[in-house]
Amino acid sequence: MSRDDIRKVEDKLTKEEKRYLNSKSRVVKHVVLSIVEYVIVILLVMIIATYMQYGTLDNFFDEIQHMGDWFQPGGMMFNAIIGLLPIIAIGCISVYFGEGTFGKMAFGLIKGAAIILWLVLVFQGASTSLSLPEIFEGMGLEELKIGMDGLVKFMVLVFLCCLLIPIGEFCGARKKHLRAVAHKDRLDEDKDF
Amino acid sequence: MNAGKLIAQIAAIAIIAYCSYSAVISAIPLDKEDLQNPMEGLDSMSVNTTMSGVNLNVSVEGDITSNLPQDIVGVKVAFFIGKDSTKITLLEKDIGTIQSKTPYHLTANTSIPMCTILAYAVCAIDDSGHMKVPIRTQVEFKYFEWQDSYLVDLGITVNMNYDTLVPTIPTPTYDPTDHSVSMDVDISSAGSDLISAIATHIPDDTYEFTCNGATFTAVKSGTEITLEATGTSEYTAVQLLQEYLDDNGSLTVTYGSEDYVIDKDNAESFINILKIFYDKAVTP
Repeated sequence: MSRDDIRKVEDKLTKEEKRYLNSKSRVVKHVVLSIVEYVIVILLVMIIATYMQYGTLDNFFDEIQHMGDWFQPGGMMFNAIIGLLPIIAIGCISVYFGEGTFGKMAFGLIKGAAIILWLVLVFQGASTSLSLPEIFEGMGLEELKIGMDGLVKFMVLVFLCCLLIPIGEFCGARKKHLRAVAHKDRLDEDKDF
Repeated sequence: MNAGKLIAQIAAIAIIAYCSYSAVISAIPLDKEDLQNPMEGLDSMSVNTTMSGVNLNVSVEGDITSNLPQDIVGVKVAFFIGKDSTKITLLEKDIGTIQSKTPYHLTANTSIPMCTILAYAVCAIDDSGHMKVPIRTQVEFKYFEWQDSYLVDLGITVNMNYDTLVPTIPTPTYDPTDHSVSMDVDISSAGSDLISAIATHIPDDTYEFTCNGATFTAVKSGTEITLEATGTSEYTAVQLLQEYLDDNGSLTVTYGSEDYVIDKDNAESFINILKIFYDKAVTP
């Protein structure tokens, strides 16, 4: 590589370096992806719940229309739809921050907590919304109460383990982030001259 | 590649996998037969129904053996007839702990005033001549201990709709002079043990109960049962019982020299059932 080529490379930020810097354009791209993700997750929850309720997906769209209670406050779908919104919002904000920043780590931790809270809400909604189908003719499960203490405790463990990931990412990317910031500052100074 | 992130992911997966594995291995039977048949004895429980004066006595007895490796704790069983405003509690039993691999001898006894069951039975007949008797079983238990908590903490209510054919759709009659209602029912085939008990165990006779000013007469002859509820010249049986319940918080059924107290919840349900009985007679 000639001296001019090296100079060209040093004159602009590489794609690798941009990962470690804050970026507004990343947020715009992520918002579009998040909307798709939101629709897919909600559809998946609806499919799983419908299958548990009716044991089949043959008349999925007809059956969905009979689930009015699920969409009432406290119902499973209501909890799923409303509870997922903050997770999506936090996800969009966190992509603004580059890897190795305190912001990225903080929002990673907050998103983890929001996901756990969402799962608890969906489980609680499921325990009140689902009326399971008849076991055989004339006999059916009428009510299902699920105690959440043990499950919540287990989810907290999973959450605490997942906290390691944004912390690990922060530790692993911190030096590269600082280098990328220094490079960007140098380029900005050059521009000023 | 972000080495810090990769190490954190591996560590997180390893911790979660270890905790999940250790919890599952201590709670799920490793033996295939135990896994297929975690509870023994539930099918062979004996249910006996006998009459004692005013009451229908129900007793349940049998041995239950859990093949699960951990104890099942907080076990509660309850049986109800009907639901919501007409729910009558037939039996409640707080079993507590069923120890692993140790037979648990279950005994439970309860007494139910016959007139409450009869009143329910005649009110449960639909327009097609079927008596749909919903017996509801409620079971609560905790299992799968992990860090002093239970991952399985369930309360299940199973609804069994016993369908009993009533050959002719009975028409209740109403007499405004003493505010009485009467209904004849022929129970030809009973899917419910309780209704079978009425049809088979109760001797053919005329039974007269009094309950805080109201009178109930049940005439039993084979599979035919006639039930009559009588008030006074001024009040229906429903009004008399409701007033007494509001003042005293319970009802007392008297048959001969025997008394049986119906607690507030069951009394309210009994009154609601009687309302249906009266409504059917007054506006058939």
